[in-house]
Amino acid sequence: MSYVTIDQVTKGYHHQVVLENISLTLKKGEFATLLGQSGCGKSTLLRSIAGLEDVDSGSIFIDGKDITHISPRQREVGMVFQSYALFPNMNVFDNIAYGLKMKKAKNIKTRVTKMIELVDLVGKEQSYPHQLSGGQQQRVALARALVMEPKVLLLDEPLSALDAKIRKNLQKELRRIQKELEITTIFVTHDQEEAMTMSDRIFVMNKGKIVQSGSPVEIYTSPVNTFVAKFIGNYNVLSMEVFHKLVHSTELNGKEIAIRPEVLQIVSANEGHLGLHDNWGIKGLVKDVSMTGNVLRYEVETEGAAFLVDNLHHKGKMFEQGAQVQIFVPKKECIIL
Amino acid sequence: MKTSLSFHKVIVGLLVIYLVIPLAATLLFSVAGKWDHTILPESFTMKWYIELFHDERFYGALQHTLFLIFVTVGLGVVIMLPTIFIITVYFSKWEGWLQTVAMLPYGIPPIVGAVGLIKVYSNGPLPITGTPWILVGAYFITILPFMYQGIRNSLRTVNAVQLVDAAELLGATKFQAFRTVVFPNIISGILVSTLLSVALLFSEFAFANLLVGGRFETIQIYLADKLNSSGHLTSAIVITYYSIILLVTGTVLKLTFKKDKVPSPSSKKRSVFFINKPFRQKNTALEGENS
Amino acid sequence: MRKIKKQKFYLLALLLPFILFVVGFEIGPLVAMLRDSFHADDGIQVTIQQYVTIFKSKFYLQAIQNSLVISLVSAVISVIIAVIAAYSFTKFSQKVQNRLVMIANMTSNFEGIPLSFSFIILLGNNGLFTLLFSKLGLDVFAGFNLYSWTGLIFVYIYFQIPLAVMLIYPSYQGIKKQWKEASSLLGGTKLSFWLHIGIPVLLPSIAGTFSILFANAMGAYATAYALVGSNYNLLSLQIASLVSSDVTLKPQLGSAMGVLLASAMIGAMWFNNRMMRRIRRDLR
Repeated sequence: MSYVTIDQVTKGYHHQVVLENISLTLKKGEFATLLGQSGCGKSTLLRSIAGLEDVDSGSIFIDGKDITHISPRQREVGMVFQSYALFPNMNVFDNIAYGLKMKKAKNIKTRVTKMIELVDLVGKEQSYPHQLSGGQQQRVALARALVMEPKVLLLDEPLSALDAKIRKNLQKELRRIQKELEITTIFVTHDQEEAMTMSDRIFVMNKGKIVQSGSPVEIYTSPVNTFVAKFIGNYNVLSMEVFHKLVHSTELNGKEIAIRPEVLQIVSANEGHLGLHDNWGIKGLVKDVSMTGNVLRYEVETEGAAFLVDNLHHKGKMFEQGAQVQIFVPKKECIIL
Repeated sequence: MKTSLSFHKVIVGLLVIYLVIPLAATLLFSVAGKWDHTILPESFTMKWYIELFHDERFYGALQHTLFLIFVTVGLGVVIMLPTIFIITVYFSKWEGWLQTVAMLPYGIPPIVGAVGLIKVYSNGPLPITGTPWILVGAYFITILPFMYQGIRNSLRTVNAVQLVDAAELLGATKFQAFRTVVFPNIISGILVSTLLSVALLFSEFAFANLLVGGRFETIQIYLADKLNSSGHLTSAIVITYYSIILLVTGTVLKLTFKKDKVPSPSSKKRSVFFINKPFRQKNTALEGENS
Repeated sequence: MRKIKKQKFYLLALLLPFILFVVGFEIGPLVAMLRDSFHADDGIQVTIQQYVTIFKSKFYLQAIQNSLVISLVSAVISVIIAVIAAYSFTKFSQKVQNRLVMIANMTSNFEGIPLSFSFIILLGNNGLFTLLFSKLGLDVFAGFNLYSWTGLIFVYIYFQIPLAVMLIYPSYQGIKKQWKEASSLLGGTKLSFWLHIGIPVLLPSIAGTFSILFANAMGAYATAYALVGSNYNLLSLQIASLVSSDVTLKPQLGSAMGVLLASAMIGAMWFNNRMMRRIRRDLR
């Protein structure tokens, strides 16, 4: 039984389509990510679910109730903004208690205190937003949304303003809290790594459409088109014609072929074969090599195409720029698009 | 390098002297007893001020001016605040229009504005030329650019649209959102444009003279009328008037300065404290923290 | 859906007072003036006669010319002084600079009637300086008449300078110290820095300031009124007497002149706006 249903939602601004016939369903407790470049419509979709944008057509259901045309305050959704949107005139406690006060809820103090514990901000109750770090502010924003026990939690690039380390921490913590509360969550990001780490399900968006959905593993290992292949994993994408020439074989057929950089093996040009039946060998020249610590990334120029090759960094096994090499392409890792 | 600095000192010194001399001379003149053939007055007296403060007409004019300022600036805040808020939050496509309309008075000098106002309000259904009410209307338009810029900038600085979004998602109505999260955060910004408007209207002469003149004497009209009487008395009026202006603009400068300054921990706290005034009573913990 | 529409209706109702004021006291009068300027003296016949009258009358052309000249001259002199003075400002410590800007800000409020009065008691016929200098036998001000063209310019410059300083000073702040360092590292001299970088960067701001000062002087009424009354032929004084005096009441002609003045002002403001946009783009 689906908990959130988006049915053929369409929206445009000034004759330009921002959301085109979007449909998706989520199960209760699922952590879903809308992934795409800026301007792909992912934030607009999120804001439409929140009721901060009107949709032109289509409907949105949460827990079986049609919420398409009701005001944001009646939707029972919580939202965390990229720039936090904390109320600067209120301290941490009052920020978190705001929604409960508006609802004239009972036990405000206990509920807020519990939430402050959950997001690990004990001792900061009386601080004002400007006295907190970015990470702490984001925790307040999260607590402020969660204390209302929303049916769906919406997160609009909540971590993108933070620096790398704090971001990694908050990713984990966000996931922990989400699992603990079993809250249905929709997360928007443009960072594919972040999406991979956190999500149960990813919806890749491009130009107002959902181009692929699935678990992180599915998305990563079997992209459905060139866009997803390039956006998700730095895939090497070649036209089939070029590929046929390179490997002197027409075993595979289709329009294009996509190969992940990390499945390629790189050896020196005069080294022997590597299980010839399972691999194709391609000769080439190292144009560039860069190191990100544990991984060496080569740019290898071959006849008619350039390849990105990622290999683990082993001591003594590194090719200099200009080296003649051979790359092996495992047959079963070739994805036909 | 040293010679060049002294050169700049001379330049700045001359400028400051040039700017301050007329004021200083007026100040001296207003407290001078006998002063006609010496560099500095021969004697000093407060009698011109005493005379001024016994002049019923002066109080009357001051009262009229304050009345106009109070009504106009009050209307300005009460009308412009919701207008700008509603347009930025709900009808953002009209923002360009609002800006054009609000900034237009910058380009229209009072002397031109008065021509049209006299035409419209001299006769016809609403003959208010010669009454203070036409000045209320004219002044509302005069302060429009200040009010607009002050309020709009404040709304932008606090990112009002997003604050309202957040509050609404937490169950607040539009009105509650405005009252609890937008308004408390923008009062300091509004205060500045309010004071600027007060200073501006205090020194407004053209509209007052052309639309109403002596029928509702403002402080500027009174001053213009006194130009030809005793110079000492007029000096006293000018100095009194200018002191009020200085007080108002000084407050403005202090307020804006505090906000712009690189936030050292103490001043940051203080400025937030200022913003928080209405919330202070509610929050005893904050008081303890700051005391 | 209907609920949202109803709510929008209430919101629009809240805009009503604003719309009333703007229509009643801004747009309405402007339109009325524009319409009136295309009517004959009787206010019924539609004609461009009023504009013809202005451009055929030596007297009114003189008023326009005087206004233009006084605005141009006072703006040019004030801008030159401000460019030099604001540069000198930057040579002092930040604290002194803030003080100086504050002085400029404070004196910029000294304008109109009170300012004219101050100049009268200083330099008028029986002014302090006039008497003092003649007694001391110095004839610096002997040929000087405050109630003349020179006197008027003198006063105009006084109220233009603080404004000009306040407008130009910030753009010196836009000239980054690193630019100077970069320029000297690339072999530039102090002169070549100002020639190729400094002045081109300042230019839009100078031009913008000039247009504001020009407009400010064109529209100035109180200062001239207090100083020369109707003895001097200025556009703003003529408009005032055409629409409000009992002797020369010709509202249609006044409207036509008002339209001309407003066009000049809006033109200057538009020019300033373009210049400011340019600065913002340059300094981003």
